[in-house]
Amino acid sequence: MLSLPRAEADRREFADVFNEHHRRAVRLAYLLTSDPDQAEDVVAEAFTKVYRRWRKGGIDDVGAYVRRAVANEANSRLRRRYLERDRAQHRTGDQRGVRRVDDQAADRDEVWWALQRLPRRQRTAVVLRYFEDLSEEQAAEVLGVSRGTVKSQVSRGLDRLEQLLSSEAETTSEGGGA
Amino acid sequence: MRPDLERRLQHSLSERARDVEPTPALWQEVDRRAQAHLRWRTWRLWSGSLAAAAAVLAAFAVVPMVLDAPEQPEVADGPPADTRDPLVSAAAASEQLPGHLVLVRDDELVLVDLATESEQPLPAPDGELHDVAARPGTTPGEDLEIAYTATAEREGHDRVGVIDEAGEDHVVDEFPAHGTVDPAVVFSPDGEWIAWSRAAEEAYVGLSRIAGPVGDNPAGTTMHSSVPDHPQEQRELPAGLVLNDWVHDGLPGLQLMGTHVDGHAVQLLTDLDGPTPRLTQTIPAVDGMLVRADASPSRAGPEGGYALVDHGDGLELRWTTPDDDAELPLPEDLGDGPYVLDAQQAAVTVTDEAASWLITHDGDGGDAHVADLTDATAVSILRGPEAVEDAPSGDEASDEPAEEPADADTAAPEAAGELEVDVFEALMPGSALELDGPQLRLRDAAGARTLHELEEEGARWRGVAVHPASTPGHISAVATATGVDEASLHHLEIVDGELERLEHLDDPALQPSEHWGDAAEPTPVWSPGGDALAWVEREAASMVLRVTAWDDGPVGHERIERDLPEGVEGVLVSQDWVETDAGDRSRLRLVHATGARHAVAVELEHDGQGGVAPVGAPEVLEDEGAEVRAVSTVGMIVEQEERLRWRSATTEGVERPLPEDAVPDELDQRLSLGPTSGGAAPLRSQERWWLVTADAVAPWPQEVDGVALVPAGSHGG
Repeated sequence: MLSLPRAEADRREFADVFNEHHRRAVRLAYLLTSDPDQAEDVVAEAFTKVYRRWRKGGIDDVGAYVRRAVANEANSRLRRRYLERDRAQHRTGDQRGVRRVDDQAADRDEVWWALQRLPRRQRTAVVLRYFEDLSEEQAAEVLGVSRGTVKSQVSRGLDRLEQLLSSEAETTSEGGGA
Repeated sequence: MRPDLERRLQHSLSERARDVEPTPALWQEVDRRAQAHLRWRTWRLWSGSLAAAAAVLAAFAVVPMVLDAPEQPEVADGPPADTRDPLVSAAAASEQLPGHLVLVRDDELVLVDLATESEQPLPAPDGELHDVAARPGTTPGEDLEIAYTATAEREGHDRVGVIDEAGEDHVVDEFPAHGTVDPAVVFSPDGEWIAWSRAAEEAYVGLSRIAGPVGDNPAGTTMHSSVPDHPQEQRELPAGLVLNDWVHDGLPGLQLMGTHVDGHAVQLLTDLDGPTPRLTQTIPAVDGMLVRADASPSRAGPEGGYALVDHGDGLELRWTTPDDDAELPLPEDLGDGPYVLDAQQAAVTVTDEAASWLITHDGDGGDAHVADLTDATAVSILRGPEAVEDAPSGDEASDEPAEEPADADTAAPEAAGELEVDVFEALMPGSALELDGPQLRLRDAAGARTLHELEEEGARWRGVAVHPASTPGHISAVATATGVDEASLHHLEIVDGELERLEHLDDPALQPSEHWGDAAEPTPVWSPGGDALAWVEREAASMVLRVTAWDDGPVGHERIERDLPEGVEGVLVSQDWVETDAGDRSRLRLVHATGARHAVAVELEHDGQGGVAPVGAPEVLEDEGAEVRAVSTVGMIVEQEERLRWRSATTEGVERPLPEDAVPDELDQRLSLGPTSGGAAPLRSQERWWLVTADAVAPWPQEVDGVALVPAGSHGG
């Protein structure tokens, strides 16, 4: 049974857990959602789920659990959220969130532009492999899929990135020559 | 290995990640949610008349429902204040009312006695509990058994288990977690089987028999658990299905689990004695998207079902019987899904992502009350021995007449009428050609079989168009393929299911440009009479229509090229070629998604001699307040308020959201509708294909790269 002192102690201890992992979690969520506001909401929800499990002492590797919770939550929202990107494209810099410190750099980043056009599963697999630096096995564990699926999603994601970057380069070249 | 791309990718991800810093408000939000999770609340009513509440207060001894309430200790120890709300309405306080609930609160199992409004803890498994089901026919304090799904010890996995009457935990299955939808578990009506949904790379329903035959355990007596005494079985589920309930179906030896996909109630026919239980469905039409359904399983009370329906502007809970249909109130503070219903007669529990409520009514849908189940994240209504005694066995069911199909407006989730018909098969007009990487397949009622496989490494089929004079017995088609360096066009003929001809049309005039498929559907379109073939390509910044005459093959070696009118940009999302009343003249209709809130249709007239000329100005296709994304003769796909919905062009008023799996991740992802055949059109979305009719959308049974429907007509080929 809980007691108030125990609850308060839990709360402080969990604040330490949060402090250790939240920055990385927000960045992962942002790379998966492209939206800094939604990234925070994803992380808030993910940490709430982590908290429930953590309170029971059922987490051996909090970082890995946070990563999985963030990836799952972001994936869940991405299914419903794709149209928001249209709105985001029409926001001004200030409206895009105070946390975006270099919007112009992001707008010039062709790889980032292309990454945002990957299908959700490919994008998640690519981010886990190349940002979180996870092995195929670790990424598979996070996503609850087989290693082969991760391998295939990453491969297809890279193929698509190459196509998009190549197509963008062609368009730029044609526009420049006109 | 692509070291340069990988290096650029790592650099980009690292730089973009550094663009964001968490705000101080994040911890405040996490803390708020965490503390909210810890709080115990007291029961409260959401609705109900004062008179009914007073009557129920008189009828029930109200005792605390909360055992562990550190923030409200007065609730834990003392009798409740006389203002405490009852759990159920007076009208429902009859034999229709369930006796007990089993609920999950803070990952603990709790038994609630509705008659006394008391609760007691039950043995619970470790881990985060997702769903529970109390075994029908068991009795609290005697032989109560509870199936559950929970997070497994291994991270990234979920497990299914049963807590037996002695409190022992028996793990039945463990599988990778799906991540977005928690697995559900249900008992068969006789309590003999459990079924659970598992979804990782593929969706399955798992089945496990946890007791001896019903005949050895007469209904109403204690069933002896032997968990699991049979190996579990798995049945693949069509994408998007969510397990709802297991109900009596009125067929011999068979039982059904009601589930849903893209707003339809779907029934899975489970012949548990057969080697390959069939998965079947009915499609009770509802005005809106059916989010969740559950049936009232007992004959003792009114037979019927509950349906949670999304109308786009809100959810609605309906109670439907063969004679009646009523709307029930939903909790004011109902949150986001996924939602779960569990029903027995005049009571239904509703669970959202974080809380649960018990809704009771008078059996006709009147005098309804909503009671908060205080932080319960999963609930199961316990059906006692009487319910199992009432339940028809398979043999009894065989004598029952089949139920009438559900009325279009009433949506009883267990309504039978079109049993033994697959969701897809019900919509499929006949046969179809499928492209899957290098494989060309023919799909008909017998399933799909490979006709041909491209041998060149890296080659794959891209699009296929069936000649309009084709019949199931004689199919003529053209298909496009891409290899390492080039695209190619092929003519094929299939006679009685066998590939009789596969010819590479290698005339330079017929070769698609290397950009084919970048900005247009890589599928040609036939003229109505089949005497010409057209396709659209992108050339530099222009969209170019190419047309070639056809008479059992391309005629001559020329093609007509026509720049599409200026201002037509965006992705070609559909192309139709329709007859006109003017002699040999026909019209090509090309619809482009523009990225704005409309699509643009361009019509070009074909003079029958090979000449093609634009007709009038491009037509803007609009849907008030929505963005048109794809158009075909059977309807259109529109975007509105972050949702995609299918709007029928042939059945007025029929609109339904696209299945979640069919909604693209990104705004600019292509949606395309192929040529219509037999009132159905193929839809490509989210890298998958769907079959769309005026009234329904069903996932293609297998992931493919391209499809074309074969006309079921009788005109010769």
